[in-house]
Amino acid sequence: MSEETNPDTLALHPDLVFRAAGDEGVAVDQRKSEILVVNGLGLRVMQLVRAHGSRQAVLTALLAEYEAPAERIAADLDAFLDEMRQRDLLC
Amino acid sequence: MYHTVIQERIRRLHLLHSVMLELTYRCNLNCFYCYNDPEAAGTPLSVDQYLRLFDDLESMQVLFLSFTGGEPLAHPQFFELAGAARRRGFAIRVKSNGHAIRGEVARRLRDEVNPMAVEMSLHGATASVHDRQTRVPGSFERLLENLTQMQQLGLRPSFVSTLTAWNAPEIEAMYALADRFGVRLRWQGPVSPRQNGDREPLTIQPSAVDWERVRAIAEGRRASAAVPAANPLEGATKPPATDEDRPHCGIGTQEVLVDPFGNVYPCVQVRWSAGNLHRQPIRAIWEQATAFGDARRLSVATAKRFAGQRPTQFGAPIFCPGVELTYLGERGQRTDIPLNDWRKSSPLR
Repeated sequence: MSEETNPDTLALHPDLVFRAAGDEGVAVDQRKSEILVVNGLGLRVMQLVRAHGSRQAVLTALLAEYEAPAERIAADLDAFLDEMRQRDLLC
Repeated sequence: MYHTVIQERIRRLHLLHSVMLELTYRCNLNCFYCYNDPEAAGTPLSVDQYLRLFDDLESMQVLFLSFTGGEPLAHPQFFELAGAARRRGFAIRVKSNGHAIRGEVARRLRDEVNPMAVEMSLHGATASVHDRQTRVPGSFERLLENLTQMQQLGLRPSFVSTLTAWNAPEIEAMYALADRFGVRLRWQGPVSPRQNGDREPLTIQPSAVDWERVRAIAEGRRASAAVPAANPLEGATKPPATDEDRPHCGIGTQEVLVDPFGNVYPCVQVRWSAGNLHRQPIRAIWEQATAFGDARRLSVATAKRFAGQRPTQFGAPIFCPGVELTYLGERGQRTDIPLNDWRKSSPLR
């Protein structure tokens, strides 16, 4: 029997660590010793993914925090999550 | 961008970004040139004090945490501490001689700590040279056995070597050894006096010609793209070139060293006391201690002293003002903690 996975579920790769540096973020992909710089929104998304673990919860939190059209925020969120997936930073 | 914009911002905002923890001065090897003071004494930090430190560092957004020593795995609570650090989301480096990282220890290191790097000391390309420096027969063969185990487990080992007169004839062979295992080899130096002023290690200082060979070999390897571009002395922090008062190194700007007894210093070589964790939390020390500003001024003064030059030290193509201070007789400053203070804070009370 195959295990169903919830497409809404998000988790950071265990080899991804990050911190805030002022209003931006610095992340390290430990597998490559690669240092990544993310903007304020990217930093907040990573914090929310770690805290909530689902796209919907992250989006709900962002909508409450940012004064921008919901479609724009959702699009920015999905674009960032896609980039993270391409870098294998989500699992 | 990280090495330019972000590093500049970290310095400008005076953010603590990286912390090096000397967990213990105990060691299972006995390296001839070790700079630690074998007589250093004090009240070790307790596990609870380390956990409070980690909580503070996490809230201060410190990213990098290095465990060193002595041999950090010789600390009896190493896994408890390193695992707790891992759970708080630090990027962890373990600087080890590698002698104990085998079997169950290696497995626990992977499962409980998952460090981004395990940097191990390579003293030569042959047992005769390596074991001569470590003064422990069999340490070379054991290092290579352990390296293989670590790679099989998915740990991320690399080599660091201090160039000495004894291992200089094996520079090329040490690179070949690192290549054989597919790990990076980083050089560091010069050999420095011990923290207690003992100059015995300087008797195996390599020559300027030896350092030139390292530079030429590293250049050749870069040119052939056999390895990723890397400065053979990349551990040295490069300051931004745009500062009016340009520093010589990054000392006092974003990193601290904590010794086993809670003393906080600007760096390994400049042991000017910034405070002690038995008395103050790290945030207060980082925000209030004058030692960091003094260290930055030392760095700027060093840059002005060597303006337009490429300074060397004992033949090495690098100049560390802290090594010079130790060589000239300065000793590390420690905050004396009365025993009754320790008893009040000890979980064993």
